[in-house]
Parts: sequence; C-alpha cells; structure tokens
Amino acid sequence: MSGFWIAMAGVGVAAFLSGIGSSIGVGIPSRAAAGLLSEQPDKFGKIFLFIVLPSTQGFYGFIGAMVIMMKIGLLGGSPNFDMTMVEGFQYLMAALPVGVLGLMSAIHQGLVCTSGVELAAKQPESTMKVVIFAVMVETYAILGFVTTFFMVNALG
Amino acid sequence: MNRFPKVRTLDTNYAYAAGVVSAKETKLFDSKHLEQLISSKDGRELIAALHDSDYGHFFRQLDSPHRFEETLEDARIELYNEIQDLIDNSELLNVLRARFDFHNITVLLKGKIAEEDFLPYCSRMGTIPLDRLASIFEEERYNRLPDYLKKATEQGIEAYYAHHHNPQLLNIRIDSAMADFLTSNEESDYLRSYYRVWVDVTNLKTILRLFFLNRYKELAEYALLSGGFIASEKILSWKLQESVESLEGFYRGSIYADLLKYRASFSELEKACEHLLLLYIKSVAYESIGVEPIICYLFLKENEIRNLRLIFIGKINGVKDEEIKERLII
Repeated sequence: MSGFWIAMAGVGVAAFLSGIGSSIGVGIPSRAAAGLLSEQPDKFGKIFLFIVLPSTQGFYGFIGAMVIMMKIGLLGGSPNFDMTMVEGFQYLMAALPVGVLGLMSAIHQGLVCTSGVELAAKQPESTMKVVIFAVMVETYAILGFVTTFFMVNALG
Repeated sequence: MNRFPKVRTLDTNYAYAAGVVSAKETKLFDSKHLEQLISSKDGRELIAALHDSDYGHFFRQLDSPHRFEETLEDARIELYNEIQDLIDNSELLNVLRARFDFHNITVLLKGKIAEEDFLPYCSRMGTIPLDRLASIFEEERYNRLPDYLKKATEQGIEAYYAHHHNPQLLNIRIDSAMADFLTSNEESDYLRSYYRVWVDVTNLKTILRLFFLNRYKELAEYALLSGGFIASEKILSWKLQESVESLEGFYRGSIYADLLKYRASFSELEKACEHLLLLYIKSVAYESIGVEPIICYLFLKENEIRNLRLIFIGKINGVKDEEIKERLII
C-alpha cells in the first residue's frame, strides 16, 4: 500500500477532529445564547465573541490539512503516490497535534464560553474577563497548530 | 456527611434552558429589594410596589391584598409551567411536582375522614388534575393512581385504622412514602441529594419535637423518614433515648451540627433548616450547563414566593418590619 493514503488519513485527522471539536464547542454556548437572547435580546453584542471563539479550532485544523495536502502534492496536481509507508505515517503523526488538541480545546472552550454567556446575563460588566479565560484555552489550540505546522515542514 | 455532595454534570441538553434561566435569575429579588417591599406601609402599597416586578401582571389585577394567596398560587403555577416548557423530561417533572400530589392525597384522605370537602385545600400544581383526583377519592378507586401514590394512599389508610383512627399516623405514613419516592429518583443527582438533605433535616426536627413532647421512644420508629444521608436505622440504634444532649454527639462533624444551636426555639430551628436547604440549592449556582441551574432557579423562585407570602401576611396583620425581615429565608 502506498504511504500516500496514510498521509491522506492525516489530512482527515487534522480537518475532521478539530472540525468536530469546533462544532460541539460552538453548539453548546450557542444554545445557551439562544436561551439568553429569548429573555434579553440586547445582549447579542456581549455574547457574540463567546460563540465565535470555539470555531477557530476548525480553521486551524483546516489550514493544517491544507499544509499537508500541499506537501503531499495533492493541491499542486501531482500527488506523490510513491510515498513510503513510513513517510505516510509521519504525516499522520504530524496531523495529530492540531486534530486532537483542536477537538479537546474546542469542547472545553465551548464550556468556558457557555459560562461567559451566563455571566453576560448576570454581570454584563464582567464579560470581558471570561473572554480572557476562553483565550487561555485557545492558546493550546494554537500550540497544537504550530506544532503540526513545524512537523509537516520538517518532513521531506 | 460533613459537606454538601458535589454535583458535576456535562449534560449539554439543557444549555438553552440554562441560558433562559440565567436571564430570569437576574429578576429574582435580592435582600435590598425585599427590604423595600417590607417597608411598604400596608398591603395595598405592597401590591403597588410589585407592579413593576416580574409579578406585575398578577398584581396589577389584584384589587385586595387579602386575595394574595390565590395570586401567589397563580405565580407558582406559571413558574412550574415555565419550567415544564424548559425541561423536556416528563419523569423529572413528575419528581418535581410529586410532592404536591402527596400533599393532595393527604388532604383528600383527611377530607374523607372528616366527611367534608377538602378539595379547596389541594394544590393545583400536582401531576394529576384535581377533578380527576377528586373523583378517584370519591369512588375510592385508588388503582387509578400511579403506583407510588396508590401505595402511599393504601399505607396511609392502613396506618390510620391500625393506630386507633389516628390521623397523625396517616400523615407520617404518606410523608414516609413521599420521602422514599423523592430520594430514590434517578433523574437528577442534585435533586436526589436535595431531598436526602431534606429528609435528614426533617428527621432532626422530628427528633427534637418528639423529645419536647416526651414521646421519642413511643413514636420515633414510625415518625423518622428513610432515604436521607443519615439512615433512620442509624438514628434509632444510637443512644438518643437517653437524652436530647446526646444529639450533639450524634450530629458532630456533620453539616447538621449547627442546627442544634437553635433547638431552644422551634421557629428559629425551622428557619435554620430552611436556610441550610437554601444553601444546598445555591451550591450549584456556578454550574452553567445541565439541569441543575434550572432546578436551582425553580427552588429559588419558590423561596421568593414564600418570602412574598410572609411579607403579605405580615403587612396584613400589622407585624413590625423587623419581625417580618427576621422570618424571611434569604
């Protein structure tokens, strides 16, 4: 079997896992936000950031997947089907940081953002403090993406 | 138990409801607002002060403060209907409303004993509509009740006849069936723990009352509820019968130890017990998802309605502001 298909699995891991994480992470605070807006429609501006923040992991995963696709020649129109199994596994391993960290951090960021939505109802003036907490979670998604980026660039 | 049981949930099914409730919680009266209400000159001024509150649509239609009970009952019914809309879980709603059913069957059985119509004393918040419940009791067709209520009714009747037509035993038996039902619910750990704390607190009050009446040895076996964190068997096997002082040793180190400080006054004890239950309710105040914030809101709002009732009673009867304030559970 060509290592190319294992590298493609890496593309999937990067895009799918972080995408799933972001979907869940955006979904939880969105539901809480819908509930809050049904009672306090004027709070939209205060809570919008909480809905957006967990979506970034999906983008990191997508960019990570694009970088791998470029490296294995898929986007250039000349896929490297001659890749060895070992090379394919290297790409798969390189995809894990952005995929797994994206999945986990997006879900946990979603929970922090849900707390932020509820704080926006009770103490609107403290909303920005929770944004800082949510950004702290974001840091690890960025680190995962950077790790993947360097690992992929170090390959072939 | 030396602290409240921890409740941690990641159930995201109630995220929308939690969002709604977090907005509604901001409308709950704080102590400052309650003080303003207490400072109303009389019942009419109190009604006027409530016009701009969350209860405005109820109190704007109220012409006499003497009809406040019905209005507050309507507010409670609306509260339960709101919660029903938010929680799409009929089993959980049944558990939340079950205590009204137990109250209703007690009232209707007592009505049968007294051969009077006690239906007006029933609560409209139970799971079974009152007209249906009335016809079941009139025809004595208890098998049309849900199993847990049928069992409670039969046990109540049995206890009444077995103990020389003593209605107190009927009460005790139905309370006991209610405690069994509420403390065994599988719907929410938080709710189950709340009722377990409630059983412990009720047992403590019962012990003190029985000692006061000098009837501990005679009635403790029947009167203590099961299902609490402190098993009734453990209480019964303790050397309590020797003296009320031994209670301190029994409860030492538990969250209930402080309640014994108030044993000299039953009204103070009652308030301390309610306050402890309120502390448990508020222990999930920082949970942002799960069903807990919704149940917490329901209980806090019910407590608020109870406080409003106390203020109305105080104002109508000319009780001093300070005394009203002391009676509130905040």
